[in-house]
Amino acid sequence: MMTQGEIEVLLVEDNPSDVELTLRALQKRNLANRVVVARDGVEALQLLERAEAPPKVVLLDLKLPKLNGLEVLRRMKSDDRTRRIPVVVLTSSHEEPDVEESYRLGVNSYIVKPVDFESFASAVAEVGLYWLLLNHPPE
Amino acid sequence: MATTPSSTITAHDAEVSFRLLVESVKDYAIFMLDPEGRVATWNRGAEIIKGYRAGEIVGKHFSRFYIPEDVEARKPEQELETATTTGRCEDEGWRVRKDGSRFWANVVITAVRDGHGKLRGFVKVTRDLSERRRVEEKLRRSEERSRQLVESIKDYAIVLLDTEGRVISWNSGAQRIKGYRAEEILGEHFSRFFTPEDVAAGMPEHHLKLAAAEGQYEDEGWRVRKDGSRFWANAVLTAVRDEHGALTGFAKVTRDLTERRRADEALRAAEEYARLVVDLAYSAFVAIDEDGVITGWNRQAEITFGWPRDEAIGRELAETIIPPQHRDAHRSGLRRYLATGEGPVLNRVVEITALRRDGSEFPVELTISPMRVGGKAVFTAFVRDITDRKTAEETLRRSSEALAAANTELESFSYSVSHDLRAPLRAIDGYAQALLEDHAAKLDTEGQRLLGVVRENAQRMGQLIDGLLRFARFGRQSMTMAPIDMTALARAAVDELEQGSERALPPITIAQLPPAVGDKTLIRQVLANLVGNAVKFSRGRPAPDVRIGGRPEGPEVIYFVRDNGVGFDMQYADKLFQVFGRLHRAEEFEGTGVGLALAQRIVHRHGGRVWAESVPGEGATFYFTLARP
Repeated sequence: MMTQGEIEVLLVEDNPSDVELTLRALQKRNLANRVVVARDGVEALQLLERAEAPPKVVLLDLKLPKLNGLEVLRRMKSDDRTRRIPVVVLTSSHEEPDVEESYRLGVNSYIVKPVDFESFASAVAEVGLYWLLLNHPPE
Repeated sequence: MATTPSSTITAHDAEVSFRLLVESVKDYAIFMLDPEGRVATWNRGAEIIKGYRAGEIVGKHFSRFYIPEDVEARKPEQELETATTTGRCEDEGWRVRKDGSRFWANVVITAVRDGHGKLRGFVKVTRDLSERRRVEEKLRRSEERSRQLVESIKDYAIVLLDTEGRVISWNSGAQRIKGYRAEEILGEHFSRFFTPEDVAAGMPEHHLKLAAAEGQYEDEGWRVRKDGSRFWANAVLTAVRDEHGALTGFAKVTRDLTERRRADEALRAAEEYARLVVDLAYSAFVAIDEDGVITGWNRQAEITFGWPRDEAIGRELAETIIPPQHRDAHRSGLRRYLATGEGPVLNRVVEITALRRDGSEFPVELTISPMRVGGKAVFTAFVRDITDRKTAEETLRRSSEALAAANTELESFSYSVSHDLRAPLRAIDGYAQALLEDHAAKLDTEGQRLLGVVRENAQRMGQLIDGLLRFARFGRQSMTMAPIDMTALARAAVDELEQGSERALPPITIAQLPPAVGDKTLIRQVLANLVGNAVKFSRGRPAPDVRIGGRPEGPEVIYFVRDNGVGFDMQYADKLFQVFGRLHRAEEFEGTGVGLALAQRIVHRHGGRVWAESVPGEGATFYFTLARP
């Protein structure tokens, strides 16, 4: 059972429209119960720091104010406390250097957000389902 | 005063005295023969010359002094007969001594008659001429040897001329050099060895005159062989005079110097060539000796450094073209090389700063080659003023930097296009969708259609942006060139299209394709785009048909993708390959207008060509070329 304050999904996204649409997509699959949104990279790291238990998955945009997504990813993967949390990069860009860098840093999935909302919604939902319900993280 | 008989010389005394005299003569054999030729008297000379003592020879026939052949020929008898009839017989020939040895003798036989004319016998006087004959023989042999020597000399034509210049002797060297055999040239005038010009100028006679006057005349010039060809000759003409000083002819010794002259000319030409190469070089040429003093300076050096040659030669190099701050390094470098043979700046291209006469400094590129000439070290350098190149390099560096900056800008631009433009589009599409889902009841049919149009256009713009970014990305991507099995690659591209397509594809025929060289990933993209294009435009035809083929032509291979689709008007063919260029309305055929532009860009990066041919309604053929492996 889930306890109060436990985070299932940490969504790191500064664009309010993308936040709303992502939440809407997760809601459609009933996956939006414990979603916490961080509006920039610094806030995301603070939330992870304060969380009682690590989230089951982090959905990370790359283009963020203050600390960008790749830097957030780098810090998470180099910190023993956050290293095991699955990170899914959700980004508008299909930029090869970003993809390479993300995988080098240890990203678990890399998803380019389609413009088409339906495709976007299904991509987010599939990722959410996979990491929340099907994946068994190491205890 | 009384006279004594002893003081009176009687005839008898005289006879006795004469006999004693004859007997004592040692250098001549003098003896008498009786009328039959038997030895009657014998003197001391006969004993010495012939080896017989008087006792053993007197009474013997004189024929034993002759060699067997002469005896056989009855020579002794003939000589006596001659003496008898003419009173005297003289002969020179071989005679035989007692010991059998021979000697060369001069013999005079004189008949002796009494007061009545009756033959009483013969007086025979014989001289041993062996010694004289030996000397003569030696001389003769020596002359013969000289003659043979002269004749055998092949490298020199040795020719004797008479006083008029006619050939009187001819050696093998003359034959070899001039081509005439002795029998065809003896008696001919030597002027035929001269060129017609020299003959016309009277040179042959002139030479004879000079040789006669000076004793000898030496000349170098062209001479003519029997076959008319010319050779470069050195000729020494010597006047020959007899013991009284009278001119008897000329000796002419000629050498063929054509080869030497050719070698001399080749050497001179090589020297001239080297001098011209250095002097006309566009690089400044500078040479220095061991003391660092300038010994070589070409025209370009005059221009480059501003020092005329005659002023530069003899100056110290360091003081002339090296800026003050580098002079010590130059001098110590020179000393070090001479002491140790080490020269880190030698034999390679070096860029340094040089000094002009007007004090200005400028960049140069040079190569210094040390060499030993006549046992002394010499350093030569070709120097190029690289001011222009340096300026160009600087300009190039600046434009490269500007280009790199522009590229970075472009990359960040495309990055932000993909990020920043796609996000609002996603929002437009997403919110329109949300509106449709959550508030459909409040919208009438027209309102819902309008929202659908908003979404369609948002999605379409997303596709355009994606296409544009893909186009930019393929243009930048680095290429890995390798031979490609084009048949297999076309098959793979078609398979991928089939898997990615919701609708069934028309039949696609792939012929056996010649191999090409290219980047496999990029060429596969070209094939996919062209085949995708063909499939798209032949869809809806009664019997759609797509064919892929190719044939080698020269150094390249021409591939084609042919469809029997709607085709296009050739008038607009140039628009086909433009980004976003479309020949059909969007509602007819989907697509972003990037596929063909991308295909063209990839083929162009491979150095190939792309073009298309079509008749509207009958289909289109797209061609592209690649290099053969």
